Amino acid sequence: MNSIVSGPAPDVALADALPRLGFGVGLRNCHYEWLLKNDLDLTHEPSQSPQVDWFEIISENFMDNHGFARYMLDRVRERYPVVMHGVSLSIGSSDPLNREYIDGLKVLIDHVKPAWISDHICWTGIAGVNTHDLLPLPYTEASLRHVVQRVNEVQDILQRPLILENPSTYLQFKSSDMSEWQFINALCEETGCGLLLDVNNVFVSAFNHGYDPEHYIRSLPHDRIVQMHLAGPTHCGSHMIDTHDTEVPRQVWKLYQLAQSLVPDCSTLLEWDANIPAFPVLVDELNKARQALSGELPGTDLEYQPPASGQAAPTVVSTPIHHNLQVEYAESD
Amino acid sequence: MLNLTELQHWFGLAVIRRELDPDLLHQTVVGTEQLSAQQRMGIYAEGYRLRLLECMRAEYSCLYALLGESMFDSFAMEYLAARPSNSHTLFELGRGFPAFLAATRPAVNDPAQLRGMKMPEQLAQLERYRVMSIRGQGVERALIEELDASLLLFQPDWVFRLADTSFVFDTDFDFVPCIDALDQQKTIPFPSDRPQSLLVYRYGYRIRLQRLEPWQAAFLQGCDGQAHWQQVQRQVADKCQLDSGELMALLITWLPEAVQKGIVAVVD
Repeated sequence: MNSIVSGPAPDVALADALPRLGFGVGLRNCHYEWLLKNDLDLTHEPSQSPQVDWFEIISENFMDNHGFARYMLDRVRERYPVVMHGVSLSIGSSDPLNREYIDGLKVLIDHVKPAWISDHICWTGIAGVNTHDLLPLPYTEASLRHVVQRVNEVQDILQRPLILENPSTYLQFKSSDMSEWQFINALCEETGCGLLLDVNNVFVSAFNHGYDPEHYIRSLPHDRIVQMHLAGPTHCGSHMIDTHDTEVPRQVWKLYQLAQSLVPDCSTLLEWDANIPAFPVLVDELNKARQALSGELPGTDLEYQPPASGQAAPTVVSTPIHHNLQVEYAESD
Repeated sequence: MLNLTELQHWFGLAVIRRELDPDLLHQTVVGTEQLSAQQRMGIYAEGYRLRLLECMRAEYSCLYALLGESMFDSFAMEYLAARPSNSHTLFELGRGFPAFLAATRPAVNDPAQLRGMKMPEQLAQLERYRVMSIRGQGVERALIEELDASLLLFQPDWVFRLADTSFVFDTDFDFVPCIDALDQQKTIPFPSDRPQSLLVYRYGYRIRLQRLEPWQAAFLQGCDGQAHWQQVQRQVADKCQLDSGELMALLITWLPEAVQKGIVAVVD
């Protein structure tokens, strides 16, 4: 159990109180077979394995799931540190905290013993309905008071600091009287929670709202950042959507270099949740993070690609699609 | 200005019910030359619809393939509008879809037409059982006692229960070729009329589908975790009008295999 719970942020940097995990990827079911035959095969020569230091799981995919996914999680835990990343805490909702969900999370925490647990600065539903999306908050004093109180409550229940992620957003509220980074600073300061800096989300939101992503990153509470996310978005011309379905663009690598210069050795996680490539390709993409830290600038610039004349623009849906129901391992007699 | 609770209720209605007051939208959401307030709200509303639709298509992929996109999406959207998700997990999203299809099936008098109209709800039920089987506890990590016919004969009081990954159900259609084709990523044939009992179960973490003989289905349905297996055997003999000794011979041959495959378990 961690010693850091609710209340004002202590003087010590949260990242110093938590392990530095290196470079990781999300555990996805399409990679199970490859992992069993390679990284998780104890007879496999380690030098032949691509280098992944740790895995992140989507908590909801493993809560109340006792099938092959749980077996794989247990196999992965034997060899790698695991972090739990949730999408349904709904910390910003006006609904009461969902104790059933938090209790289920606690059961999974006790089983997985994650390095830390994270979720998002957002709300996902209201009046008992879950939209399964990460919805934006108005950044007001009233919202801040509401979220601070709930983060403290959850941290007291779970007896560990929450690590919260900056979301990708597509709209801002006229009632907001502070910036997102000001809201995050106050939230971290008042609750002692940590920050999962999603560099791609900064890139997407900055484009959608017309602010400077470098200023955003420089303005964050760097001593509270314990993890960074990387992903590839989709450029729709007038806006960008956080699709996690492609390579990380050069602009995001550049922001990542800045973020790492401000928070050296921060644990890094590559997200890829749609059109997921084979595991070695995923690891090649992850290795670009190592390249970026050595001074090279990988990737290519993301630019808008208009549809060919006469063709409709493709449908673009933002993540998360934490859906793990496909009968991937099914076969009939 | 709306307070946080009012704003979230308003936003929820706009995204989930697509009820949007344009005046309130412009008072609440920042619009820019790059993207209007309505377009910005539309990203969330459209994302909500498409994301949940994608989950329904994935969970009911065989039915989706058979009905086609337009008809399936129409059923799924009606379902989602009637029963928006109230769970933290998307696993629960499609739970009520088979019952919704049954409840909203148009009333017809012709028995043949009525049977045909039950196909979607029955296939949806089968697909739901397959998903439930994936996530159940199962018996893969349990120590399974090896049974044989002689051991069974000397244990008339043993009690069996269906594993939480096993599901027996009766259907009017032959869905086995459909599921086979789905799993092999082939074109899915339309199911033929062929009343039968089916078993969904999990063995070695793989989901299996098997046709059952009437006596097998009746026996598994009787494995309620309470009745002694030879009591169940007598009930099944009566129900299926089988000679009791003949059924006993069938059971002592088949039951050890059903235990070994994790279809049923002996209750301690």
